[in-house]
Amino acid sequence: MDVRLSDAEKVFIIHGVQEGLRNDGRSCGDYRPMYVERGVLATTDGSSRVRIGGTDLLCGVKCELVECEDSSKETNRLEFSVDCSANASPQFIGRGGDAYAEELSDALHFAYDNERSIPDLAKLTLSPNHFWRLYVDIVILQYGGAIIDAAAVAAKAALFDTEIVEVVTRQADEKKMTIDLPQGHLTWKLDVKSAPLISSITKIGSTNVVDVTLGEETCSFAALWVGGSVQKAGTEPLVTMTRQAGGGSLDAASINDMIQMGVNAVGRLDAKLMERLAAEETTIPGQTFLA
Amino acid sequence: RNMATLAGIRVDISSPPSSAAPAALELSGDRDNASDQFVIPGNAVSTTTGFMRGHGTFTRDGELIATLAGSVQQVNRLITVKPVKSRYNGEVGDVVVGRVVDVQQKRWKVDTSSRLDSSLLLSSVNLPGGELRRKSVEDELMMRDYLKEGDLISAEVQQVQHDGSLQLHTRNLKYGKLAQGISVQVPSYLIKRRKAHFHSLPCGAAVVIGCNGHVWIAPELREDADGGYNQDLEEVISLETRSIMARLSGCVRLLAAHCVAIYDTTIMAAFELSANHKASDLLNAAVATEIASLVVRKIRAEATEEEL
Repeated sequence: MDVRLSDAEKVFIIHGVQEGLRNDGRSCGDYRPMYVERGVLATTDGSSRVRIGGTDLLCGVKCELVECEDSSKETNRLEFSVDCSANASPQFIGRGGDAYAEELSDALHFAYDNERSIPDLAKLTLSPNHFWRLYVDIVILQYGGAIIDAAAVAAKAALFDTEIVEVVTRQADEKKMTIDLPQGHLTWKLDVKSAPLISSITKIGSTNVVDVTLGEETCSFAALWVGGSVQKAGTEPLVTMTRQAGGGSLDAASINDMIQMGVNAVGRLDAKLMERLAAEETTIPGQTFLA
Repeated sequence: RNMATLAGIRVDISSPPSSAAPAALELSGDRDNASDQFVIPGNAVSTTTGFMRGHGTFTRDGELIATLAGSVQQVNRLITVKPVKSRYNGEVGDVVVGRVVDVQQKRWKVDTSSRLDSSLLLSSVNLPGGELRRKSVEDELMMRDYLKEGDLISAEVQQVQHDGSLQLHTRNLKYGKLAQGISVQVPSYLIKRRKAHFHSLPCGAAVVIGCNGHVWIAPELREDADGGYNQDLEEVISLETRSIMARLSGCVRLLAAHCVAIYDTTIMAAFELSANHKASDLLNAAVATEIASLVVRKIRAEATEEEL
């Protein structure tokens, strides 16, 4: 967004994408190598750090026990918030990142806002008066393109990492319930296998591209964010969100192709992420990525 | 249906490399630790007296103390500390690659990754139609037609101002506006100053290695009489050349990531040693470290050969 390129450089990038060879040797469907760690913040219930190319972001999940009049009426079990550090990119200085941050958290909220994404969500309701609310907070430490893809990966990895305290409900006065800690410290985990991931498909010239770098981003006018949830391993993801980004307009005819590419990308991302999450060593309590 | 849509998606998710790229190269044993004396701010640079205080040092109780983190350099009795990391410090005669950020009265402001923007005076550029002509008012009005914000140029440092800002000139056919290509930004302290900074490489592409850490990779070197101001934006670079350029950009990036000096020899060595890998695989940390350590080994072998 903040990089400036000369006309000739842009032409070079656009022609390259058309030929299927980008400036770093990738083809249009290639992601840069992504690094995912979880359990990186000791002060959260679940956390992750995702790096892809120049992009670097951190995600933490905090569980809060909420008391209310009627928990069936309260719907937002997951709260997403995104913060754009001013160190990440000059465009985020002052309040510059607020609009973009809201766009990101909104997209995440929308992608998760259905019964298919996390079927386990009902478990977060403890009693007619109590439920768990999970705050998913993402900080963008460095801006290097493909932020929404990385943010969704970070959110899913952090939720996978999240351990929620086991509690018991007890009858109290006036038909109310109270919450108590049982003997021993027990925790449980949400099943996030089908939590959605998001892929941003960017239109450069007349070609669709995944995982754009900053330079490529300046050559494009429009992008489509496609969120998908993999219901069963190996099957095509279910589209839970589509959103247009990047300011420009898209031809209706090209949107179908972009969604299809997004679905493919989400499917591949999800398979690789689940592989990585399953293989990763269990976290050491008290260890952070700072140490 | 669109080709790209059907093309496969490649994703690679892994744990981060266990050590940062420069450290990984150090661990491979291919690079010896420098013999220079390194100091951090507050360290005593020299305990013996009788030395002159240079840049990066101050005296406290008659003792010379470092104010920078870097290597200690001595010229006769003058002791300086050369910082490990710094922004680009220009010297007269340096070849730089910079981006125009502003068009002002009779000058362009150019970002050369220096502390201050450099300036390129209208009077120190070659304009189309003869080298030695006076710049008229019309030329001044047409400045944005020649170079506008965002354009990349190659230039030479003509003068270093008192405040450290640079004055550039492009009064040579090899300098001027750059056309299609890839620019790679690396730390300026990794660039080795050489006699030539414009290279037509044997692999079929060209590089301009700016001393300011801006490496320009182009299909060929151009010496247009019009300073490159007339560009053909319709021209399509062949896929073959493009893949060579993509590989070169990957090589420059991996050399920079591993703190290997960047000049024509190392770039060509990395290019040749990476032949077994796809250009996109150079993004992979393990592959990059492997190639960087091969390059360092090769350069050192050549250096010892020369000694013998």
